[in-house]
Amino acid sequence: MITAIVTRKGSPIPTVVKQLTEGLSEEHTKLLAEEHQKELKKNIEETRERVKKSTGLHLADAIDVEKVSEGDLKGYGVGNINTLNKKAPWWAWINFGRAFSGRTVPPSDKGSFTDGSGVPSKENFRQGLWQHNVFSKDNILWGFTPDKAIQAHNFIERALGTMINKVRSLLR
Amino acid sequence: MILTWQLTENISNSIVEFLRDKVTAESLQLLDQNGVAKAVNVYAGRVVNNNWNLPLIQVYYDVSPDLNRLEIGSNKRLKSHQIVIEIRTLLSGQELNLSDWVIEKINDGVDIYDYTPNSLNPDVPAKSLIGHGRVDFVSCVSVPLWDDADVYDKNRFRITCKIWLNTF
Repeated sequence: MITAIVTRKGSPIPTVVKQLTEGLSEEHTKLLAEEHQKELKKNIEETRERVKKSTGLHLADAIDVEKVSEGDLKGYGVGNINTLNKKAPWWAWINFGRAFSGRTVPPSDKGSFTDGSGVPSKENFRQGLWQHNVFSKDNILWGFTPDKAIQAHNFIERALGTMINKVRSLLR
Repeated sequence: MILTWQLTENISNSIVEFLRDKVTAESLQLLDQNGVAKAVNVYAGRVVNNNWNLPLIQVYYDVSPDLNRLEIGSNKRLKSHQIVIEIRTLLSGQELNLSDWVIEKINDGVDIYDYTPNSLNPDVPAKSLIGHGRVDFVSCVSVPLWDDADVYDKNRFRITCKIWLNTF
């Protein structure tokens, strides 16, 4: 009987295989996480109903990829829930159509729209963003009572739906 | 030409009809807070209607995440239809039970019909079988429970699935 003993200088083969597999798995997980992040951001933008506000926190910016490890397990997570709750707590309202408070319709407020108006004209409807406590160009603090519920945008499910098929093309 | 329901609407309605048939066949009911049995309702539509009665299963088409070329040199496409099924119940915990029931029922797929308007009886359109829709589940999650949610959102579970039609 002929027995072949395969060795590699420095480390036994199983150790080398383990190292390679772990490295590759981590690389793949990172790749998937980054692609998932892109899909989430893309779906947030695609389901946007109004122009993006020029200042302040944005939902898409609060979706990070982060390295996570638990014992020997290493991986990457997308969209840390604590970060989202802190930086963009409206994520749930946008995705599920319901705010943390249980609201589906935004509360009444005082302020004006970004174009300086208090009552948008038909032509400008949906063009301006509401600014809390900002006076209009005619120096009035206008009241605003929304009467429509915010619809579920499902950006999480949409990203997942795309990722399921993308995995095959990403992992080669 | 008056454009009638195309594939997307046909798929949505086929799922609604499928679930309604199953609910009826099993006389599916859930108890309310007074111990009174309430029939489970199945509704179509993205927006919750305040006239809807709980407990309910809400079905709507959301997006088509896949529209891939089926084969080289052909315009045939393999298209998926992502459907959202929202379960909304009167009592906490019921949404989990009802979601398990829905998942079990649709797991083997759903027959998809082509519906054509029936002017004599608009509520009962003529239909013909066009294929069997396979189901891939995308996510099954309890919608987080928050304070002061209205009655439609208190106990809510969301199933998202892709429907693939075998005929193309």
